[in-house]
Amino acid sequence: MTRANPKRIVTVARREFVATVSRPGYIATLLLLPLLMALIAVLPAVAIALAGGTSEIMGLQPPGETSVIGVVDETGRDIVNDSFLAWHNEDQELAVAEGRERPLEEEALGDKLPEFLKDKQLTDRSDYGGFDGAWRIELRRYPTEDAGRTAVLEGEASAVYVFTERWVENADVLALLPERGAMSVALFPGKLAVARLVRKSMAAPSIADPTTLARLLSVMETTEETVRDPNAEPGEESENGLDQGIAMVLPVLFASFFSLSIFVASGYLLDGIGEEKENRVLEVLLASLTPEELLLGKILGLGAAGLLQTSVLLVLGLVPMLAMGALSLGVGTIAAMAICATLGYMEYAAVMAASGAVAGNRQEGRQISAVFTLTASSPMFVLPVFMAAADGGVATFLSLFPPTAPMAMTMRLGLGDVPMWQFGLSVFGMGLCAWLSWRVGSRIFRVAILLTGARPPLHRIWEWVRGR
Amino acid sequence: MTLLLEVQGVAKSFRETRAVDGVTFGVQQGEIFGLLGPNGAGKSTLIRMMLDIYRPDEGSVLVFGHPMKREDLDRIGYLPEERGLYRKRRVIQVLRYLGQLKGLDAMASIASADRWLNRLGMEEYRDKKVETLSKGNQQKIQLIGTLLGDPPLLVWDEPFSGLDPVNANQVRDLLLELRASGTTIVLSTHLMGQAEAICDRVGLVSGGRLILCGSVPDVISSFGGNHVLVGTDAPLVVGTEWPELSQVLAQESSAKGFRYSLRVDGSLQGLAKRILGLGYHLEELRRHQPTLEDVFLTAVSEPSVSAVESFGDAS
Repeated sequence: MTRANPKRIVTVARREFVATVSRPGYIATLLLLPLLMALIAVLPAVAIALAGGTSEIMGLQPPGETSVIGVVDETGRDIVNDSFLAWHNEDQELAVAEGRERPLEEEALGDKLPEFLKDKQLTDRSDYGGFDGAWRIELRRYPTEDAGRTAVLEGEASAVYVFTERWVENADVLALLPERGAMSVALFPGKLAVARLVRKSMAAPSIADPTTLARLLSVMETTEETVRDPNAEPGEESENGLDQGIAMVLPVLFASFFSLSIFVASGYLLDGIGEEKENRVLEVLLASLTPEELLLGKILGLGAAGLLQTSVLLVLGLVPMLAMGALSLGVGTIAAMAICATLGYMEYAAVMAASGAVAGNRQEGRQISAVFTLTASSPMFVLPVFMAAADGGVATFLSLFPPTAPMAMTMRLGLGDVPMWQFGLSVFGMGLCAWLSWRVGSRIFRVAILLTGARPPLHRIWEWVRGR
Repeated sequence: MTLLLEVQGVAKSFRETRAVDGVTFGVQQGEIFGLLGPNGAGKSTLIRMMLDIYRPDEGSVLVFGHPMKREDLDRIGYLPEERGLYRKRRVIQVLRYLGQLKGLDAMASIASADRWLNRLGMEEYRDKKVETLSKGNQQKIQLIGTLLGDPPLLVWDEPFSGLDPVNANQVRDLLLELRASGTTIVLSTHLMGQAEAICDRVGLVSGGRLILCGSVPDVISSFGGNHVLVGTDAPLVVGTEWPELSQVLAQESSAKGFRYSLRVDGSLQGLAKRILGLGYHLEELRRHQPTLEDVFLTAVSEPSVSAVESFGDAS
């Protein structure tokens, strides 16, 4: 018979898409996905709570108690004005007494500020450093960096921000943080209080120096360092594991969602064919379509249904996560992940369809396809290996080996930079594997689609693959 | 007459089983061709090869005068034996989809579906879900699915199965009406009465081979031998010493006694004499015209029939 008819393929694809997206299960998943993403977004807070209490992990005192945030001014330009520092602390005490959540004179100060300082950070409510209703921040000046370190080490200060002598040139602020907790996001109240102090200190005098004015646009860019006890035994890991772990898990979780869309769409394909076999619709369809047209239409239509889910994930899940700073993935990285997910779907779709065709019913189809699902998701089983060394031997191999590449490469992309040649090689391998999968899957599908009764033995399937 | 479908020496094996073995026949334009045979004879496999669902190991199939092309599928209405519908969808949605698969646009597909639903008195089920329909009505929806776009060739595999007598008659009338309008129909059925009533020609398949092929009157009249109906008070024990008896075609028992359809080679008197001589009470003895069912039963029970017995023009 001659080549496929694109119009029929589109008809099948459209029907499969509409039938799938109108299923209650699909709609429920579509609605639950954003909820799941929201859960992931609040994962840090959950992890904090599980680790023994919010304030301890955050390095701040419990709500209602005052935390000390230290400041060291090594700039030689008096960027920390003691009178403002005292004003903050007095105002803080008054706020506690008055049950107030906003700093006094904030609006008046805002009016005095130059236009370029009236940015979002200053006008945002969250910028009322230490006045967010829960955290009470006392700002305290320390004379030297060493004094700041000691204060952190002894638990006197929850954090100390050191404005180095080069701050005016490079905006580098060293944040000395306690060994436990110290998530930069969680310490936001303290950090904002310091930032506000600095802005006030600098804005109050006459602002004539253009360099200083420019610097005020970027008040603090912190380089964070965990302060360790110099007497601690060597080899003792004192890095903030929880903090780093969460920072790494988020992109991996996001990457895994991308990969999961492969299985979701393939699962629809498998179920759809199983259902049509059970309903005995397939031969009716084959009166109007070639098996290849039917298979391709299904792959495209159900792939589109999977794509819709991924798009919802992107719009409702990714954007808020990026906005909250919980996820730091570039557009290029996300596009690369999308490529991996697409190729991954193409790799598995045809063989999943063949599994559905070989099986007698949906349940049997799922059992057969478990081999492919497990293979594709195997990188997730060695997640710690990826997190320990995303560019290590195992992770690299799995990201280049076509059957595991869709998920492994997506995970690596989430964890950090991947050399371009490795990404290219992986994409090439996945493309090749997708082509092979189509060749093998469509041959099995053609023969097995009308099978009833016992599942054919492997050697019989192999004969079909060879075209016998 | 123009041959719309030509099956030329096709054969198909599944593992060691020869499902179809060198079958040749033709279907003329505007006729109803009955493909008859017992279960497992190879009819469905043969039909699947005619539609290029299965590819023959040997031989070839010509449709509309040439090997099957992709666009030919749009001109063939196929009702498979193994059939079903999307149970959760509405009737009109399913029919629209099937019409679109035949190349109709959505509007034309719906219009064609509505026309056939009205023709078969099914318009009240138009917007109902398939799963709410009775088996017989689902069957009629499937028939309508094959008629969308008015294809010139219909291949229906067991179209009467699951239909009550009223609906079976309705489908029979439909077939005759379609033939009158020039549609060519290949009909596979177990119902010999229906086949005899509506088929112009028949082909009998047994053991994967075509053992009889021709017009219905020719097949019946050339079947040979005298056919008689015999009624007795006790079961006949037919011995090998009955030279006048060729074959017991059919038998049935009732409260009134036992009734046999026999093919006899000798005289009727000789047969009566032998039965009475064995002590049976003869309730009935008369000649009768063999039916297609008699032919069918005889042919499939005679392994010696090894070649196509063709009556008139095999095509």
